[in-house]
Amino acid sequence: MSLAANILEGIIYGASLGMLYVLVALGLTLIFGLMEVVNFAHGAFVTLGAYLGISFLDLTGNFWLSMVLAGVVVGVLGLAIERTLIRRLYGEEPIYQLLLTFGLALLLEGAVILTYGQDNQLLSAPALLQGSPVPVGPATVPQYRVFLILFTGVLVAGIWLAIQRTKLGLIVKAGIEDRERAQMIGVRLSRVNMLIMAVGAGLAAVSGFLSGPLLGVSPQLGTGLLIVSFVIVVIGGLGNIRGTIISGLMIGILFSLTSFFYPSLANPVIYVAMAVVLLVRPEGLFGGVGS
Amino acid sequence: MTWLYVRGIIARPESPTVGRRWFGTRSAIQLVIAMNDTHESNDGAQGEPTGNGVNRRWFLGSAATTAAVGLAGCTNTDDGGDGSDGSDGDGGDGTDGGDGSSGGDGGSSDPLLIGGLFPTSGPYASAGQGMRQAFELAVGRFEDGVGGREIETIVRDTATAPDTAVNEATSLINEEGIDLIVGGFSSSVCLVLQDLAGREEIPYFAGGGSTLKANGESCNAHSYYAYASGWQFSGAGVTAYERDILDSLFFIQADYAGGEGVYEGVTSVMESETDADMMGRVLAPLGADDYSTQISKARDSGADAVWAATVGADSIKLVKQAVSAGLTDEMEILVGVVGNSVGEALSDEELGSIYGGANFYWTAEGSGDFSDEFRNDVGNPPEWWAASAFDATMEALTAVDENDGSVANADIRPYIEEREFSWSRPDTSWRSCDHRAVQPYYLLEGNPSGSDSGEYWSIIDDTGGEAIMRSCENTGCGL
Amino acid sequence: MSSEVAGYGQYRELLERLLDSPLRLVGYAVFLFALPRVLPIGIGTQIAILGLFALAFNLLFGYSGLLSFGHALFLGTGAYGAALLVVHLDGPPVAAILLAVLVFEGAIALVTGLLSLRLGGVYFSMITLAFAQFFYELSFTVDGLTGGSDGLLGVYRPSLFGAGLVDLADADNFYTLVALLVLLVLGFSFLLTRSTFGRALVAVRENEERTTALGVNTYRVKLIIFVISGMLAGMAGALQGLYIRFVSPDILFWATSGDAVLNTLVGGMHTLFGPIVGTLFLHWMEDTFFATSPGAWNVLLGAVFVFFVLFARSGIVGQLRSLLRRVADWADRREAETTSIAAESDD
Repeated sequence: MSLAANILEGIIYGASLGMLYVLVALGLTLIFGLMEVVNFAHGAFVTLGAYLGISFLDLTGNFWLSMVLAGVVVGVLGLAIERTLIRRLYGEEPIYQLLLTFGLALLLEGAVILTYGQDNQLLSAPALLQGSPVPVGPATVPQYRVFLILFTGVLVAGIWLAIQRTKLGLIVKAGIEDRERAQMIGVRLSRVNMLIMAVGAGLAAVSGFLSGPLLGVSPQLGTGLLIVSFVIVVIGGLGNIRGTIISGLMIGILFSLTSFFYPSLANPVIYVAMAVVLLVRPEGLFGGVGS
Repeated sequence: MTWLYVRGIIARPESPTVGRRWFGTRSAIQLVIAMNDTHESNDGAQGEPTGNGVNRRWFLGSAATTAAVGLAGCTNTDDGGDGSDGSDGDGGDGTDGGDGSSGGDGGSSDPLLIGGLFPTSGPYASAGQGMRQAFELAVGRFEDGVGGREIETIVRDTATAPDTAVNEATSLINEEGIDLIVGGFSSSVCLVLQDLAGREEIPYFAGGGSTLKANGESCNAHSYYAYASGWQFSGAGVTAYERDILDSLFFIQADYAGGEGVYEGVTSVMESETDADMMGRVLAPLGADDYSTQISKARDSGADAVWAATVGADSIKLVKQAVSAGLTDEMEILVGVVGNSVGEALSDEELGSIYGGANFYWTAEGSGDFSDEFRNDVGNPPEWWAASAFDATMEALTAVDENDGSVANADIRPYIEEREFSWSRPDTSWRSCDHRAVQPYYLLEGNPSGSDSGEYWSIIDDTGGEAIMRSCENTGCGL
Repeated sequence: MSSEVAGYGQYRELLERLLDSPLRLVGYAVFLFALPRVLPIGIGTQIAILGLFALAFNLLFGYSGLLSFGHALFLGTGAYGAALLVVHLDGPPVAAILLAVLVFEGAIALVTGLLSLRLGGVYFSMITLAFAQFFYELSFTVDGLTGGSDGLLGVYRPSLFGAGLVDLADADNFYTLVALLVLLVLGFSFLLTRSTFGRALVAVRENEERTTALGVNTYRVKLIIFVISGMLAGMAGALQGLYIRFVSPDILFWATSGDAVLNTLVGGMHTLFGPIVGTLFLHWMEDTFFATSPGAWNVLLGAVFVFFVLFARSGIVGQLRSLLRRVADWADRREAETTSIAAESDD
């Protein structure tokens, strides 16, 4: 295989991994933008989504239905957590909300371990996507990877459009840009907070479930994705939706290509990327809050 | 402190005795019970006299422990144990109490205190549970004690973290006065326990640890490894070559010391024992999520088989991605280290398209007694680490038994070296030059229909003996 | 805590004076030297070292409000630094090792601080976390130096001043060293928080904008405390490496940073001694509940932590203090009532 084909393959594979990161980071960045909460429990939502999805799959036998159910259930959980716990801390130092979600992360992942144990769980791609790899230019790519890019691409584009074009989206945007002014002109952000928390948690759960066939499912799944997502939102600019999407893809591809040429540097390199961005543009590559 | 991200947990309500890291020091109360009721403490785990919550000492402290050891002396004298003079039982020398129980080297009648260290929480929790159960099974085979000494066990959790392991082991040695150590699973834990055992001059029987360092630059006279080294993994490759499964081999190797050892060992043995071509390797970051670039390099290598020198969850991710990328249509995949824990996490299709290597499989000939007993006791088939923990414990106890209860390495070492045994698998012996067990290594084939019977793998054949071991001159171990 | 004691009753005034006086350090000394008599010395040493780590973390968090989720970086590099010095320099005196580690950690903290303090608030938490993770990954990559996943073996405890002077292989001696260092750091923190610099720190925490307006260079204030905190955390790391005589990448994992956060919040973040009390308390809790029901331990830990964030933010020590204040006020009120009754009957 030619070098060009290898690089193309690295980019496509990296993009499919990057899109999984984007789903996690997007929720993180929306929740922060709107509520100024750095949600440490987001990793637990990812893990929970994967495990609940497996349980639903055992129950229903349908991959797609299980994905939706896992997303909805975890979304409702996120909503409940916002209503009952995080809400108490609005208006206080953001540090306390961070600490609270850190405690919740411990609690939720503990509950996962308690229920499902420590072992890796089996989650396969649906039969529909298990056929032979498809050629993309000079490269060949497994169907599930192609699906990941397309599906998450559509999902993310949908969210993007919803935020840009709908009235609700405009409220979200207004809330992210200037919380106080939005409230001044009569927007009730309380409902929007609930909604965004639910959507963010749901996206994390879907990301967890979808990464199962690629990464395997273990209690550590979410933590790994969460830390990379932190790097992504720092690079993309916290609260910046477009920046998050672009930097998520970039990090996925950077990891994939580095792992091709210098495998031992693949894990550290994303942190180097973050340090460089911080040096050059501390507010993130694409600027701070705003979309 | 426990932290789920690194060291999660598996609840095992039926085994309440695991002390937690350095705090699990056995309580004074417990010691008193242990000493007074020696019949119970005799059969190891079941009798380990630590009810839930009873061992939650903490603020009693070392003074109380000392007192309890003094008491223990008395009880022993009452039992009519030979050799204790009355002055021992006076307990006058209170401050030295902690050392008292390890002072029994020369065949005394003090109970033999074995420290078992297994990763019963953390990423290898299920492996650790199996090892612990095998350990208890082995101890249970010595109902009458060893060399006239009762057996007591103290089991601690290493959480698969070497820091925790060394903390626990140090506390077992200093505060409990254990006579020997059994256990350890991951290479880093085994190495640090080996280091400690050498320093404290206590025999250590490892149930894990495939790193070449253990029997090379870091080897010492006090440590014995009943587990295959990375070099011995080559047995699966030799068999695969002989069975015409492969003629050339390319490696996807996890980028860490253990992976390096496997690469070195397998290529070197394959070159000397077979005519297979070694087509090089590609590294993968340890714990990486995405193996796509490694998979395409394997595809380009021109080899007809790929050896996955990865462990645990990494192997699972690699196999999933390789099968989905269609790699198995073009070449064979041989995962160097597998067991049911890997089999369970793979789909039937994935399982059906790969080979694996193992140091033990429960359906193998000659593993019958141990496998049956383990399955009866525990309910599921033993993994190879359990088998190695079993071998390690059996060998340690047999050696003490044959030496009239002595745990001095000067007695144990000459007895163990070159000894042949067959506790959980046939044709096993100790090598004196590096204290690594000579064992068979199996080539397995994924069995897509085995999920009901627990037979995720079928044995193709095995290769064993000295041929798949690093020659004594090359180990760098000066024993 | 206020030094204005006027307006309080006599008991409250006495209490406030006590709480604010350097005499507290005597109490800490008693606590530290009693610890190994009540607990096995290995446990005591571990609590003192990890308590010191939490203490260093709290100097930053409790007094400047900057929540670092990457303090494992300092603990880990301190441990690796000390261990490497022992292995490669054939056991230099521990006193020299500690000094070298302090300097080395100061440099690391300066560089990472310069970068991570450019953005405040929650950014700071995420960036420090990412830095620690970078070093965690790096410890695998440079395995020639660190031993990679196998860890760094062959570490031992040289004597404190070289030439066999004060043998630290002895557990009691080593504990004494650790305890003295903890006391030293406690004393230093006590003075620091009462200095002009300490007041600037609290001002930054309470209202950064106003403090800037007052002409204080808040960036520099934050950087200085970050470097001090990093150096002390690194010293705790050096002690940890020497105590365990082994270092592996685990110590750099972000879970280690999480431990410092947990210990500090539960013990009391705006207090001097809280982190050590928190370390002791959570270790006790772990010992009690992990063994009896290991599965539920993490759930319990999370729940306890959430409880403290929501309802007892001042931690154990803070709660104890308010309790004492309430008791003192109650005593004052009673006294006032008795005196007024007495005064009435005098009439």
